[in-house]
Amino acid sequence: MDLLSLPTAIAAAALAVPALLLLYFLKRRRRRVVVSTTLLWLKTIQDLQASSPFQKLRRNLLLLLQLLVLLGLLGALARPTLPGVVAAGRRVIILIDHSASMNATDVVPSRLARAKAAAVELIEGLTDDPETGAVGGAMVVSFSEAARVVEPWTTDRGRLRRAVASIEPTDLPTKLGPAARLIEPYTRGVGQGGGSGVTVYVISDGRVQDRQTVAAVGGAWRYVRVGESAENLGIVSLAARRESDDPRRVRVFARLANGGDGPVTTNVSLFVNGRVQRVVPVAVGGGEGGRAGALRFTLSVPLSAVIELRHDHVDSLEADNSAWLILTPPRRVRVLLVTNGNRLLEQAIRAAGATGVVRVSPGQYERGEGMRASSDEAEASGGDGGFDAVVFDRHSPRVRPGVNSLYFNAAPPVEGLALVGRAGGGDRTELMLDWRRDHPIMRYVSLDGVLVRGSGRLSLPGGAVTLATGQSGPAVVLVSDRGTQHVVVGFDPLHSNWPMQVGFPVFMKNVLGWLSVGGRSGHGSVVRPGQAVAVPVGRGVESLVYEGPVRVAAALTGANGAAVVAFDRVGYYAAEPELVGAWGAVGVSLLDPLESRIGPVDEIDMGGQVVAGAGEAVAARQEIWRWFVWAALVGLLVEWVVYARRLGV
Amino acid sequence: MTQVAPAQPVDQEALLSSDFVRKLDRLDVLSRKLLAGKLHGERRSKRKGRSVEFADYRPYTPGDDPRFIDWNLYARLDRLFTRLFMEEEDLSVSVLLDVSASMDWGTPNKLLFAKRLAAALGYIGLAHYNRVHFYSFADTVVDRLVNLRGRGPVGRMLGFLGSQRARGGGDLAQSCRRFALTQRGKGVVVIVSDFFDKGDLGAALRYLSPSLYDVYAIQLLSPDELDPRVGKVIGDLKLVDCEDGAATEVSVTAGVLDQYTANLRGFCRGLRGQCLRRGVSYMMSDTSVGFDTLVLRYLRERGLLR
Repeated sequence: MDLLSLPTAIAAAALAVPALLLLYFLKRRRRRVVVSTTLLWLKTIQDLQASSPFQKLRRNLLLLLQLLVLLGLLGALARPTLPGVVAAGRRVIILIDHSASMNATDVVPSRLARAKAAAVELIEGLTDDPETGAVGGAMVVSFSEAARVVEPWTTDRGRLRRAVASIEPTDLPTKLGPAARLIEPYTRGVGQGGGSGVTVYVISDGRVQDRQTVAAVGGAWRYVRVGESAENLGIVSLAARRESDDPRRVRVFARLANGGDGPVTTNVSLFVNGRVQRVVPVAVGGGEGGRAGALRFTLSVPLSAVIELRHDHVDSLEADNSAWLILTPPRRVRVLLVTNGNRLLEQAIRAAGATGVVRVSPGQYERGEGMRASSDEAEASGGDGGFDAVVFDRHSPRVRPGVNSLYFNAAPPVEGLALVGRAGGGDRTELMLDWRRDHPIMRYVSLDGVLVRGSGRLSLPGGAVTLATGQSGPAVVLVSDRGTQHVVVGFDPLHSNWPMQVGFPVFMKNVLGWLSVGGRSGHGSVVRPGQAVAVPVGRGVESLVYEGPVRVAAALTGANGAAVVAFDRVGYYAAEPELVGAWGAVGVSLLDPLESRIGPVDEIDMGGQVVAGAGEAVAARQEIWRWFVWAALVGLLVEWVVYARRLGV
Repeated sequence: MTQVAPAQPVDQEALLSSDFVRKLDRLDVLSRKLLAGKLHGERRSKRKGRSVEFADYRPYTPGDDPRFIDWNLYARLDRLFTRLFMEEEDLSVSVLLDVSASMDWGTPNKLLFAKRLAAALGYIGLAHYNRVHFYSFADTVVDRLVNLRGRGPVGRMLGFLGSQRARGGGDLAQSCRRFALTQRGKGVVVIVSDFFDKGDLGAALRYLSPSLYDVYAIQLLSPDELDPRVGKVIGDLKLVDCEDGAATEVSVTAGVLDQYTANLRGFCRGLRGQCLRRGVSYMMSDTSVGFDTLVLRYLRERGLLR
């Protein structure tokens, strides 16, 4: 236990204790009463003194109690503290979660503010070890979807405090892996921090999405839990689809999740271009598992519209109370087909609704011939060569195309992605074992009975989404790389019976719809925090800024007339200068079931290593002067009782 | 216990009202012993005398008055016997009144109560032609009025009692010794006091020989002495003895009061024991008890009056 204001307490004690003793030992002013005789009183006093073996103690009990009360108050004045978990001379790495769920206000003012306060307390608790001479230092790292060193190793508490204060809230998902990898050199002992002597504090609500894949390497890990309540109703899913026969009629699908224990009844409003179209009451059950409430609307909307869904239930997390969907006009898709000749595939692309299918040979593609579409619309769209997507048939390009692409028995040059045994894979026939029925690309696609001969095996990079799995491994995958999406089919359809089945044209329609301009081919699309989107800006635009909850500047990609922009905060953004079309305004929606479930977890299982959580106060030095004041009050009460019992007449 | 009702001055009517006197006329002082008196009176004496009440026979000796020879007996027994008759003499009644400072205390005032009691006893004695003596004492006998007889000196008696003032500390032993030396002859002695004496009470009573005196000890205590709560003697106090000025610092708490009450009870028990050992009849009275009740009922029950 340390005393923060010991000199003050000593000075006060030097005055108060002698004063109390002086007051006690000063002759008490007694009321003078004349009695007929003191004979019986003298005898009474003698009897009382004789009958009590602890007369001295009894006589001084009040003094002892008063001294105890005084010592309690002096103790409180000395500001006693219990040491935090930061040992003297210890080096610490403070990981502060600033993901979406940390914006919850179940604790005042918010989880992030409390996390920052806990971090500051940790920093205040850093002390040098006078015995070993070790100097306490710290490093501050913020993490959400990515991790960033906010302040490298330093012993300057002022800089550390400023670094903590500079951490801004985001609406990004929580991933601890990047932070763990970032600090691994220090925790392993090869960095400046000093190795296994380092203590890592994870200040978070524990809603880590990648906790199964992250490993706590080296150092002593501590988890400081922030947050109290799980009460939150969030919109976790929003999608729209146009009617095929009437593009103006749109069906909107939404899902709400309730993380709290009790059911929640609220109103959900649907806005189209800022005007209310529907208000429906919704009851979402609570309890373990956060049961979801599904909503469906069918309405007529303009060809280009922004749909907003909003519920009016007041809860801790505001970011998931609204979601936006951008509807772009339906238009035909222009596809560049790179093949040595595949009429079946070409027909399938046309049947999927694509216009302007341009077929080039792999040699021509690599030389860059015939890749530019001729229409003005293509020019305006700003895509790579005017095409919305490129389909590679049995040809892996040397350079990654600038637009979304589809590969059959081929793979884009994405790091970590490879098609193993792609040629001459044997005559073994394989069945499709499983596929993601819930993914838009695989919607209404059945791979039952699909037989594949001589398929390759895909090795995948991190973050790849497996859409279908065959007997030898992933067969259809979706890979995102630098803002572009690539769907890779690891086998040749001509070596399977898939094209003969109804699922193939459905798959082609889905995948081309998904790939064309980020999947915005007339259906609604959502923008999530952290997601980089390519905004077609046309030629002549020198800068693009989105004004919303925060100001976001887009990076212009140059000649192709597109801008890449990523939003960290949820909200409604307006483009400056104004853009014509769907990108004039962007609604960034959380739509993340994991972030909407805000209940703080008690422990983080990091790849099998369980890090138990402790409250915010545990990390910091605890001031315990209140205990002393309580003890003094109890002492005062006892003293009063003793005094009253003596005079209890 | 701070209430002190001064006992003086007291007029005679306050000591002995005319209504009360009529009630006292029916009473007489009773001695448990047959004591020899000095003058002829209304009380049987140990001596044989000339009353009409036959007492005994004794053989005739020369010199006896031949008028008292029982000739009938001589006729039957042929021996001379003289008839003896009971003698009736007066009774000596001495009232010892404590006038120490501790008596001038309490509500009702103990000294006033004691004076009224002494006046009542004196009146009864005088009304029956007893010889009545009054002694007031503090540290010794400080004043006296002796050899009163008949109703004539009632006024002197009341004047004497009314003039008594509380003074100084009390010394019962010295006072009894002085009384024994001063008062010759046998008789009834009534001590009216609070007996708050820091000396040896047993030694004091030793001077009052049972063979000479039929002694009654009447202890008077005020209500606030019996229970200090009545006088609000509570808290951190400096208690000052009104007789010797001795101061005692005491924090009067519930426990202390309980102990005080137990000690007072023990003190009275001890006094009673001393009295029993010395053949002294003891009674204790609270001054809040009605004076009529004390005299007309309690003293008769204790055998002092009839």
